Amino acid sequence: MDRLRLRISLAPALMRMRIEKTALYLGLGMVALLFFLPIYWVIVSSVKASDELLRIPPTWWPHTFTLEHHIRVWTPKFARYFLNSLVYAGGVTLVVILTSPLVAFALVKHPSRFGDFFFRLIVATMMVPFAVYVVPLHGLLLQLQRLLGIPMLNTYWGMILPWVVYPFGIFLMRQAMYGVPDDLIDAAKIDGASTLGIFWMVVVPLVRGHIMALAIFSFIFRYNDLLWPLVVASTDKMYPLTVGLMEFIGSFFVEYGLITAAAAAAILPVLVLYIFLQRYIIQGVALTGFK
Amino acid sequence: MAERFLPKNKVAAVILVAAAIYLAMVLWFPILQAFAWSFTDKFMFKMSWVGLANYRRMFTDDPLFVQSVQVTLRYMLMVLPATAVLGLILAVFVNAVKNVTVRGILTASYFLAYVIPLVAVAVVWRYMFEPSRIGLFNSILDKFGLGTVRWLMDTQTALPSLAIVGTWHFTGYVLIIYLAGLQTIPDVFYEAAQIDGANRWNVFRYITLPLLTPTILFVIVIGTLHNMMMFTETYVMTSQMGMLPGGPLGSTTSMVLYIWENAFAYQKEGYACAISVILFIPINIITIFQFRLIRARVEY
Repeated sequence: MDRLRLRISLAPALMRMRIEKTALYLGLGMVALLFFLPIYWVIVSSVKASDELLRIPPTWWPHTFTLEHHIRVWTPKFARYFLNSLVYAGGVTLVVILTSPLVAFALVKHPSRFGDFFFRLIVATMMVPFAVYVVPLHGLLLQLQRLLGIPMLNTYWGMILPWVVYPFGIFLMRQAMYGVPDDLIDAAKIDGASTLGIFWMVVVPLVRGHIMALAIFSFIFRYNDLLWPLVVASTDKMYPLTVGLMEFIGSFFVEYGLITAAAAAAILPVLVLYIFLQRYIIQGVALTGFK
Repeated sequence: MAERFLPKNKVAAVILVAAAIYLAMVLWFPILQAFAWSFTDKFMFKMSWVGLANYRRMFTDDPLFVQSVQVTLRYMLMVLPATAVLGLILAVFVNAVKNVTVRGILTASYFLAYVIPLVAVAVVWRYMFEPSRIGLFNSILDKFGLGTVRWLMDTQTALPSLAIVGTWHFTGYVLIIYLAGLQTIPDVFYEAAQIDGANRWNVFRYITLPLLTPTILFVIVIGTLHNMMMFTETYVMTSQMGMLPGGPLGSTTSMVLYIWENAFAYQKEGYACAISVILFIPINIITIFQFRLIRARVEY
């Protein structure tokens, strides 16, 4: 009897909670849809026929479904943009996930006054925006070209050069190194392992998660990068996607079907990475304020 | 503190010294060089000392520079408050979602806008911003009888249009930072408030907001840095064949774009460096402020 009365008195409150929950989900869901709108518009525009793209008012759903633009966009030139993006982003990532843990390992597990000073300088300059020193950096490429006699401008080397030792990467990996127990390193040392052997066999497996996060970030940032490739690459043989897409954008006779198909292709790799690895990415941002 | 100047371990010492030399080459030296070149008239391979002439010209004889400062500040004043407030509201509501899966999906879909290449989405933003009614936004405005807007084609609306894109792009990032901050607030506070019978607004006003202050400050600092560097948005949204981006009539030429223009379109590298230095000063102040903040955050 008592229990029944209790349930009756709780009913309105439960009802209210349910309504609130529905409203919350609905509201947040609608904002999420709004955020997704531009991406939806890329996809839906890329499969509409050319005349439907110019229709007034625009259609929310493709009435004329076609894959024509997606086929036509894959010219050798566009494939080359794609390849350049993968080489730039992938190359930088491979280098960064090697150098960052190495430097962090030397900093944390072999402390020295030089190391302390070095790290302090890294932290102090980590936030300096790229745009502030991009002009002298371009000058550096010219200098290296002259001194070494090998081309730097309009090459992959020139594009990768500024990111080989990556302050953010060192910063992130340094945190990870504090989680590696000294006992393990000492034990490996007693067993006769070399410094690099210890790094490779003991340290790297323990900081795999952080290396993974660093790899994802480094890849996405370089893949999305516009400013530096714009400075270094000067012919469409070397353009990555971000620069190459500009060729589609700037023309007077805008073919929206082709443009959006190109954009969809450019978005796809990041979208796939994101769907599978978003937990790493979001945690990485939350932990480091990574940008 | 470590006693030795260099690590005893040879390999570690070599790694540190090599990394330091490399960073000096690609980061520290170029930063100093930007300062040095700002006092020269560097033009391609010619360079001679001109003292403060670049700075004098900037402030007395270059309305385009003054305009780029205004554009940058106006852009920041639009995007920063919008993202800081919208991100906070979203974060508080997302944090109220108890279902972990739903929360994950929501967070991921807001953050997506920050991760995918802005250049690629800018393409479709331009399509949606079309000044005729084939553009999505104008067709919606037209449907409600509000007329049409010329968006990117009008000096009055071009920068606000970019600010919409910027807000869309950056809110997800800000949201993640806020969510991380919200999760550090211990449940005890909320439970205590519930027992005291506080309503939700009061909980937000007297518990969430004060305890979130360090995070909000962090968002403001990061947001200022991010938006002062505005470049990609304007470069891809306003470029036209045969014209420099930043139009119409320079109404969207940000400071970074102006640096880029001077250095790489006109080869006036000395002058470009002087603008970099001007950009560097407020950023430096903000960064120092941020270090204080991080320290304060650790104490809290």
